[in-house]
Amino acid sequence: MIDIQKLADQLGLDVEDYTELIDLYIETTKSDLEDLKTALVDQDAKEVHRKSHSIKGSSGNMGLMELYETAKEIDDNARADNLEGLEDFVLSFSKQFQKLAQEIA
Amino acid sequence: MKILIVEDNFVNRKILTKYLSAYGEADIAVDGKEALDAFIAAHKAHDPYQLICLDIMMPNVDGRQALDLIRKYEKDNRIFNENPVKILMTTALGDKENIIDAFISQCDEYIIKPIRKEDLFKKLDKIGIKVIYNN
Repeated sequence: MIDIQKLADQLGLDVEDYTELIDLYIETTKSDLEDLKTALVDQDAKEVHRKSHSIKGSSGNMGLMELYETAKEIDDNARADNLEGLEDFVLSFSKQFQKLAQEIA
Repeated sequence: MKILIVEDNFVNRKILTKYLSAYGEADIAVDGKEALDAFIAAHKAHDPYQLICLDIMMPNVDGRQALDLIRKYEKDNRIFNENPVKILMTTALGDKENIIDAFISQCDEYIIKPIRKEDLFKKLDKIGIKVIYNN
Protein backbone atom coordinates (compact mmCIF):
# COMPACT_ATOMS: atom_id res chain seq x y z
CA MET A 1 0.00 0.00 0.00
CA ILE A 2 1.29 3.45 -0.91
CA ASP A 3 2.02 5.69 2.06
CA ILE A 4 1.09 9.19 0.87
CA GLN A 5 1.93 10.75 4.22
CA LYS A 6 5.45 9.32 4.12
CA LEU A 7 6.04 10.36 0.52
CA ALA A 8 4.74 13.86 1.20
CA ASP A 9 6.93 14.15 4.29
CA GLN A 10 10.00 13.08 2.31
CA LEU A 11 9.52 15.96 -0.11
CA GLY A 12 8.46 18.41 2.58
CA LEU A 13 4.94 18.86 1.21
CA ASP A 14 1.64 18.52 2.98
CA VAL A 15 -0.61 15.62 2.00
CA GLU A 16 -3.06 17.83 0.16
CA ASP A 17 -0.34 19.26 -2.10
CA TYR A 18 1.21 15.86 -2.67
CA THR A 19 -2.16 14.36 -3.59
CA GLU A 20 -2.75 17.13 -6.10
CA LEU A 21 0.68 16.51 -7.64
CA ILE A 22 0.31 12.75 -7.76
CA ASP A 23 -3.00 13.12 -9.62
CA LEU A 24 -1.13 15.20 -12.18
CA TYR A 25 1.69 12.68 -12.22
CA ILE A 26 -0.71 9.81 -12.92
CA GLU A 27 -2.45 11.67 -15.70
CA THR A 28 0.81 12.71 -17.38
CA THR A 29 2.51 9.36 -16.96
CA LYS A 30 -0.50 7.48 -18.32
CA SER A 31 -0.20 9.39 -21.55
CA ASP A 32 3.63 9.18 -21.63
CA LEU A 33 3.42 5.43 -21.09
CA GLU A 34 1.05 4.99 -24.04
CA ASP A 35 3.46 6.98 -26.23
CA LEU A 36 6.36 4.93 -24.90
CA LYS A 37 4.64 1.65 -25.82
CA THR A 38 3.88 2.93 -29.32
CA ALA A 39 7.48 4.08 -29.76
CA LEU A 40 8.73 0.67 -28.68
CA VAL A 41 6.47 -1.09 -31.20
CA ASP A 42 7.80 1.31 -33.85
CA GLN A 43 11.38 0.58 -32.64
CA ASP A 44 11.95 4.34 -32.38
CA ALA A 45 14.82 4.52 -29.88
CA LYS A 46 14.89 8.31 -29.80
CA GLU A 47 11.23 8.54 -28.85
CA VAL A 48 11.55 5.68 -26.33
CA HIS A 49 14.41 7.64 -24.75
CA ARG A 50 12.43 10.89 -24.74
CA LYS A 51 9.36 9.37 -23.12
CA SER A 52 11.17 7.17 -20.61
CA HIS A 53 13.36 10.13 -19.64
CA SER A 54 10.27 12.19 -18.92
CA ILE A 55 8.66 9.36 -16.92
CA LYS A 56 11.91 8.81 -15.01
CA GLY A 57 12.18 12.49 -14.13
CA SER A 58 8.69 12.86 -12.77
CA SER A 59 8.73 9.52 -10.93
CA GLY A 60 11.98 10.47 -9.20
CA ASN A 61 10.72 13.87 -8.21
CA MET A 62 7.55 12.43 -6.77
CA GLY A 63 9.79 10.17 -4.65
CA LEU A 64 8.44 7.02 -6.37
CA MET A 65 11.77 5.27 -6.43
CA GLU A 66 10.66 1.83 -7.65
CA LEU A 67 9.03 3.39 -10.70
CA TYR A 68 12.05 5.67 -11.12
CA GLU A 69 14.46 2.70 -11.20
CA THR A 70 12.42 0.83 -13.82
CA ALA A 71 12.07 3.93 -15.99
CA LYS A 72 15.80 4.52 -15.64
CA GLU A 73 16.55 1.04 -17.04
CA ILE A 74 14.41 1.82 -20.08
CA ASP A 75 15.95 5.28 -20.47
CA ASP A 76 19.56 4.09 -20.16
CA ASN A 77 19.05 1.33 -22.74
CA ALA A 78 17.14 3.48 -25.20
CA ARG A 79 19.78 6.19 -24.95
CA ALA A 80 22.38 3.57 -25.88
CA ASP A 81 20.14 2.63 -28.83
CA ASN A 82 19.42 -0.78 -27.31
CA LEU A 83 15.73 -1.66 -27.44
CA GLU A 84 16.16 -5.39 -27.02
CA GLY A 85 14.23 -6.85 -24.11
CA LEU A 86 12.77 -3.50 -23.09
CA GLU A 87 9.23 -4.89 -23.38
CA ASP A 88 9.77 -6.64 -20.05
CA PHE A 89 10.76 -3.42 -18.32
CA VAL A 90 7.83 -1.57 -19.87
CA LEU A 91 5.48 -4.33 -18.73
CA SER A 92 6.94 -4.22 -15.25
CA PHE A 93 6.61 -0.43 -15.14
CA SER A 94 2.99 -0.65 -16.34
CA LYS A 95 2.13 -3.11 -13.58
CA GLN A 96 3.69 -0.99 -10.84
CA PHE A 97 2.09 2.10 -12.27
CA GLN A 98 -1.38 0.58 -12.52
CA LYS A 99 -1.13 -0.58 -8.95
CA LEU A 100 -0.28 2.95 -7.86
CA ALA A 101 -3.06 4.48 -9.96
CA GLN A 102 -5.61 2.09 -8.47
CA GLU A 103 -4.49 2.82 -4.94
CA ILE A 104 -4.72 6.56 -5.50
CA ALA A 105 -8.11 6.48 -7.23
CA MET B 1 10.19 38.46 -6.31
CA LYS B 2 10.22 37.54 -9.97
CA ILE B 3 11.15 33.92 -10.68
CA LEU B 4 11.66 31.91 -13.84
CA ILE B 5 11.38 28.11 -13.73
CA VAL B 6 13.03 26.38 -16.66
CA GLU B 7 12.06 22.73 -16.80
CA ASP B 8 10.83 20.49 -19.60
CA ASN B 9 9.04 18.01 -17.33
CA PHE B 10 5.44 18.95 -16.59
CA VAL B 11 5.24 17.29 -13.17
CA ASN B 12 8.57 18.78 -12.08
CA ARG B 13 7.40 22.21 -13.12
CA LYS B 14 4.35 21.85 -10.91
CA ILE B 15 6.41 20.69 -7.94
CA LEU B 16 8.84 23.61 -8.25
CA THR B 17 6.02 26.12 -8.70
CA LYS B 18 4.42 24.84 -5.52
CA TYR B 19 7.66 25.10 -3.54
CA LEU B 20 8.51 28.52 -4.88
CA SER B 21 5.10 30.02 -4.16
CA ALA B 22 6.63 30.93 -0.79
CA TYR B 23 8.98 33.29 -2.65
CA GLY B 24 6.78 34.88 -5.28
CA GLU B 25 5.21 34.39 -8.68
CA ALA B 26 7.00 32.10 -11.09
CA ASP B 27 6.99 32.14 -14.88
CA ILE B 28 7.66 28.98 -16.83
CA ALA B 29 9.97 28.16 -19.74
CA VAL B 30 10.14 24.67 -21.19
CA ASP B 31 13.64 24.80 -22.67
CA GLY B 32 16.79 26.93 -22.74
CA LYS B 33 15.68 28.87 -25.79
CA GLU B 34 12.43 29.96 -24.14
CA ALA B 35 14.36 30.77 -20.97
CA LEU B 36 16.76 33.08 -22.77
CA ASP B 37 13.90 34.80 -24.60
CA ALA B 38 12.01 35.34 -21.32
CA PHE B 39 15.17 36.56 -19.58
CA ILE B 40 15.96 39.11 -22.30
CA ALA B 41 12.34 40.27 -22.61
CA ALA B 42 12.20 40.88 -18.84
CA HIS B 43 15.38 42.96 -19.02
CA LYS B 44 14.08 45.00 -21.91
CA ALA B 45 10.92 45.69 -19.91
CA HIS B 46 13.14 46.82 -16.98
CA ASP B 47 11.59 44.13 -14.80
CA PRO B 48 14.27 41.44 -14.66
CA TYR B 49 14.08 38.07 -12.89
CA GLN B 50 15.77 37.76 -9.52
CA LEU B 51 15.93 33.97 -9.61
CA ILE B 52 16.13 31.39 -12.38
CA CYS B 53 15.78 27.67 -11.61
CA LEU B 54 17.42 26.02 -14.56
CA ASP B 55 17.18 22.34 -15.46
CA ILE B 56 20.27 20.95 -17.20
CA MET B 57 18.94 18.24 -19.47
CA MET B 58 16.41 19.76 -21.86
CA PRO B 59 15.73 19.58 -25.60
CA ASN B 60 16.91 22.30 -28.04
CA VAL B 61 19.08 24.65 -25.93
CA ASP B 62 20.03 22.79 -22.72
CA GLY B 63 20.55 24.28 -19.28
CA ARG B 64 24.30 24.70 -19.52
CA GLN B 65 24.06 26.48 -22.86
CA ALA B 66 21.29 28.69 -21.50
CA LEU B 67 23.45 29.52 -18.46
CA ASP B 68 26.33 30.58 -20.72
CA LEU B 69 24.04 32.67 -22.90
CA ILE B 70 22.39 34.40 -19.94
CA ARG B 71 25.74 35.32 -18.37
CA LYS B 72 27.02 36.47 -21.75
CA TYR B 73 24.00 38.74 -22.14
CA GLU B 74 24.60 40.20 -18.69
CA LYS B 75 28.25 40.79 -19.52
CA ASP B 76 27.56 42.33 -22.92
CA ASN B 77 24.97 44.62 -21.40
CA ARG B 78 27.10 45.42 -18.36
CA ILE B 79 24.49 43.98 -16.01
CA PHE B 80 26.92 41.63 -14.36
CA ASN B 81 28.39 43.96 -11.75
CA GLU B 82 25.13 45.62 -10.85
CA ASN B 83 22.42 43.04 -10.67
CA PRO B 84 23.20 39.56 -11.96
CA VAL B 85 20.32 37.10 -11.72
CA LYS B 86 20.70 34.29 -9.17
CA ILE B 87 20.75 30.97 -10.97
CA LEU B 88 20.01 27.65 -9.32
CA MET B 89 20.73 24.64 -11.51
CA THR B 90 18.49 21.61 -11.02
CA THR B 91 19.92 18.30 -12.11
CA ALA B 92 19.29 14.57 -12.07
CA LEU B 93 20.90 12.24 -9.55
CA GLY B 94 24.68 12.07 -9.53
CA ASP B 95 25.30 14.10 -12.63
CA LYS B 96 28.63 15.31 -11.30
CA GLU B 97 30.23 16.40 -14.53
CA ASN B 98 27.30 18.64 -15.35
CA ILE B 99 27.48 20.29 -11.95
CA ILE B 100 31.16 21.09 -12.24
CA ASP B 101 30.54 22.52 -15.70
CA ALA B 102 27.71 24.61 -14.32
CA PHE B 103 29.95 26.18 -11.72
CA ILE B 104 32.53 27.04 -14.33
CA SER B 105 29.77 28.85 -16.22
CA GLN B 106 28.86 30.76 -13.06
CA CYS B 107 25.67 29.44 -11.62
CA ASP B 108 25.08 30.36 -7.97
CA GLU B 109 23.97 27.02 -6.61
CA TYR B 110 22.78 23.60 -7.74
CA ILE B 111 20.31 21.09 -6.38
CA ILE B 112 19.99 17.41 -7.16
CA LYS B 113 16.60 15.88 -7.95
CA PRO B 114 14.37 14.66 -6.39
CA ILE B 115 14.14 18.13 -4.87
CA ARG B 116 13.13 18.28 -1.24
CA LYS B 117 11.53 21.47 -0.06
CA GLU B 118 13.87 21.89 2.89
CA ASP B 119 17.01 21.46 0.75
CA LEU B 120 15.70 23.94 -1.81
CA PHE B 121 14.96 26.54 0.87
CA LYS B 122 18.42 26.06 2.39
CA LYS B 123 20.15 26.54 -0.96
CA LEU B 124 18.14 29.67 -1.68
CA ASP B 125 18.90 31.07 1.75
CA LYS B 126 22.58 30.47 1.07
CA ILE B 127 22.49 32.65 -2.04
CA GLY B 128 20.57 35.39 -0.26
CA ILE B 129 17.01 34.62 -1.30
CA LYS B 130 14.49 34.67 1.54
CA VAL B 131 10.97 33.33 1.96
CA ILE B 132 8.37 36.07 1.55
CA TYR B 133 5.10 34.25 2.17
CA ASN B 134 4.71 31.79 4.98
CA ASN B 135 2.27 29.24 3.64
